Amino acid sequence: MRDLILTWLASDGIPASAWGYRGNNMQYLLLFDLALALYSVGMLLCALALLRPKGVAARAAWAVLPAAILVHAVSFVAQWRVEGIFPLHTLLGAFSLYAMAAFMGAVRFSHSTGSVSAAFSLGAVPYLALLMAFLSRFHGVQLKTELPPSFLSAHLFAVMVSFSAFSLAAGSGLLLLAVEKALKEKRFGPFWQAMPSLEALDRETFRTIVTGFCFLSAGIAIGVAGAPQAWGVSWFLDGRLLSSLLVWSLYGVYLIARARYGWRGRKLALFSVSGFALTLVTYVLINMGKYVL
Amino acid sequence: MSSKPPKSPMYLFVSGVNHKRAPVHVRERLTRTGDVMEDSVKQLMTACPVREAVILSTCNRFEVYGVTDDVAETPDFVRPFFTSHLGLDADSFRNHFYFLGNGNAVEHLLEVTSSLDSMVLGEAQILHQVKEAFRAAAARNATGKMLNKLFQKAFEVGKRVRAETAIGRNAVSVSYAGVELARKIFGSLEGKTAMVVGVGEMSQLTIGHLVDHGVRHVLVTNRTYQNAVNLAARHGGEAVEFERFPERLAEVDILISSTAASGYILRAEEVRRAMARRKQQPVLMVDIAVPRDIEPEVGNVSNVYLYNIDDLQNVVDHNVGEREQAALQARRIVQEGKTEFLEWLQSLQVVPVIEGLMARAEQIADDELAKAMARLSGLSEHDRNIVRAALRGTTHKMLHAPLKNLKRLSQESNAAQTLDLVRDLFELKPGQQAAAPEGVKG
Repeated sequence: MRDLILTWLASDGIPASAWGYRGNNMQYLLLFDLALALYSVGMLLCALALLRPKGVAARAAWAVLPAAILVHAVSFVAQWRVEGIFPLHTLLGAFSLYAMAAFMGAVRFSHSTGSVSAAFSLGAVPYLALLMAFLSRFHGVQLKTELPPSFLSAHLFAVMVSFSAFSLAAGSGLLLLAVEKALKEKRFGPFWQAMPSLEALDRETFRTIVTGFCFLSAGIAIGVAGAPQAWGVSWFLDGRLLSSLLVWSLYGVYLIARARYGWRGRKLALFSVSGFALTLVTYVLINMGKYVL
Repeated sequence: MSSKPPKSPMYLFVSGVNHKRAPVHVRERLTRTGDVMEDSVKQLMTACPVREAVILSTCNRFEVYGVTDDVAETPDFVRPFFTSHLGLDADSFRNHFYFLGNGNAVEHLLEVTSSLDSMVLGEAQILHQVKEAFRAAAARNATGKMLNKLFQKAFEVGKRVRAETAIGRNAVSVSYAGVELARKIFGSLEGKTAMVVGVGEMSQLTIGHLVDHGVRHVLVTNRTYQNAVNLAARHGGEAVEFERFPERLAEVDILISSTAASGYILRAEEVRRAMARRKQQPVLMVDIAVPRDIEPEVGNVSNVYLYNIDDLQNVVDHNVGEREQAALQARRIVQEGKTEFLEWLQSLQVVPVIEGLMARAEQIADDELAKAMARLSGLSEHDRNIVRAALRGTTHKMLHAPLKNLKRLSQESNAAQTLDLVRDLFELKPGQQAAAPEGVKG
């Protein structure tokens, strides 16, 4: 199969390297590209489902998106097998894992709320991440970290999944704000019709935040366990740890406020959006800036 | 092949009254129970030259769909039959009955099952009612090839319209709009608690819809406590004293208010306190009273969604507009269904000609075979069968291409002339063809 594709590419005068295929990486990159194609079809179907929420496009999207996730997961495992280490040391791996987790969350969210259109709205950012992962193969950007390898994979995995969850919660929060605004202002357009109910959005946003919080807690715990080996006695003064703790505390405060004072609806939505904005600053500006070579 | 007796052309029709042509005092006199209508089907077929019949009787329409071979008399026998059969004054109905034939009848039924002809555009009940009417007629052997095919097509079109258009998607009554809003806030209404303040007609309708959609706990309050008790009993709910209903607000997910009070009976401050007690879980408040019962400031309280009668009417108007848009799309589906059915009907014209051709060819083959067999006395039975099979095979192969092309030509606009030409060419006798429906152009 691999030779067949190489021959086909060569017949068009395009060298395989132009697609980023080099040596053994072709196995998982081909699977990744197939997954990307399936995600593209799935997103297109979800967009069509906005026009007819229970039409053929919506039903097809339910089949295509899970298939895309499955192929994506296989490509991730294949990359792990080929490279021999958990594939989070490159931008391709990091974006890929983020997008896969976010799409899994979006599909679960849509299934739970019965609105395939929500998958389109929530899948937009992960889809962009996939495109970035696709482009990153041409630059081979490596991530660096001082954490011992034994802690690195588990730490990065937990943190990336929490990042996915918080981004999904922010997207869901934005949908919640839109639906709440329509209900308060009594303006109901076609987009509103395709959206899940307010309570479903509230419930799923909250669950997603809880999921993200659990993974972030695990990621921080693993990071702290490996930190003394990486940064010596003053490990607790590292900016990444402190900023992660800040994010963790923020979400922790929200969970307490929800349980005690019933912060929901608009408050939850605003919190999920602002919480993710802080997360973005923390991860992208502080962590990524230090990790990327 | 045995020859069949000649039959006259079949004619499809619908005759009756509906909400567009007759006022309610006329329609209500035609409404009968299922048993009476089922008997009427059989009596109609006995008394009139009707081969197949289905009677559809709902609140807003009374219609007979039938197949007859007496085109000239058809418009005149249905109305008198029903007025006399149901004991009605014929003059009262003279101007209200309509009669549609063939293509128009097909289009009418498809519009009925698509709820394009309903009083409330897009209502869901009519498809079920048509199915029941057809089932009742079929159970009495009152339907045949034509109506079976027509009604199957009508059900198919009705389902397609509901699946592919938004014609039945949103509420078009004020009472149902409240349910739609509740579902947009809560999703499922299972296990939700609703409170009715005042027992006006609109409140009763709305609470009925809510209970139908899963609301299980109903609280009812009214200035006259006994009225609250009565309405609560009807929905298995609980009556609450009017002075104490604000204390129960924290339990309530949906509140419907329609009292005749001259001022506000529910203030924002009371709602804020209730919201704190229920930990800000969302509440839908529907104020259908004029003057309003609920202070407008309540609409600004977090997680409270307040709608008054004008808001609900706006929702309904918006939804009606959407249904009218969907109706344009639905009419296209109806036209497609009509074309498909008429093509099928048209194709029936060719059947008697094909049967005639086959019969004539086989007759000639049989005659020639008999003559040949008389001269071939030394053949065994096995040899005779081989000769017979060869002759029959030759006949069928000769006819295969002409018959295939005849079927194709029967779908074209000049099919009647083509079929006449074939009849002339092969000198087909009337006894060698079955009945063909005529005048099937819409």
